[in-house]
Amino acid sequence: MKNDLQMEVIADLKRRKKTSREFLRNLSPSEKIARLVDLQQRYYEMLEVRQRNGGRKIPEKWRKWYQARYENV
Amino acid sequence: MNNQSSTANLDKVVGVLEAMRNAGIIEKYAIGGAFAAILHNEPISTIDLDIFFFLAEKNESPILSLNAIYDYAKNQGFFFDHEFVNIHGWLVQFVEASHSPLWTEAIENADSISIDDSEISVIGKEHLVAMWLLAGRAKDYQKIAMFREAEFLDEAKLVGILERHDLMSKWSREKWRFADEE
Repeated sequence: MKNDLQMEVIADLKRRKKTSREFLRNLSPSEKIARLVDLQQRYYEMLEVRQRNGGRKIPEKWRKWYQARYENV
Repeated sequence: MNNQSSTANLDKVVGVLEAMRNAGIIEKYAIGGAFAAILHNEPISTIDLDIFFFLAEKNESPILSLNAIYDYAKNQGFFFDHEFVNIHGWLVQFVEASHSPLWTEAIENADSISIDDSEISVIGKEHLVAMWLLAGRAKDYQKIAMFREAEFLDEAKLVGILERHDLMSKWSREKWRFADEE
């Protein structure tokens, strides 16, 4: 059972999520693609840092992505 | 990492697809998969660009051959990596659609979306949902849930597609997965 404060926090989070998603949905196709490109780059950088720090290796599909985008163009 | 143009050469990919069509290698085509989800909805992570298409020259063999596409790509100097063709920095996966009535209908009824100065064919929202339902992987169901949450689906159109392609019972069985959050 959630108390009033918890319910209020949840409702606020839902409102924020909805606003954020509406904003993203209303971007132009070019802006969406630009954000995808940015998302891909940031994700790859995160994978690189993880590997450098002794974590799991960069997944094969992301290596392919990197090669396609930056090496074999 | 280098920053490329905002749409990272996507206009050049469209140019290559149009050139393939003009060269008589492919007929109609449309963007599908996660990339189509992005154009209709919001940016999500994906590494590739799925192109659903019809081959211009039908194969005699019962085994589908995409040699015409690979030969063309090779002549243009594009790199290959198994199922992907690297076209101007995008991993493009070509998916021949003529064997599937659902995919065929999806291409025939695709939307046209303007990206900068290019018009590109993109599989419509309701057809995408039906295709993801048919595929039935966790990541497909996530995209269906995302589309349901966006509240932009034409429910009557979706039901029509699901009925035509015998997917209503699967929809009824699986729809709890895509129910709106409480």
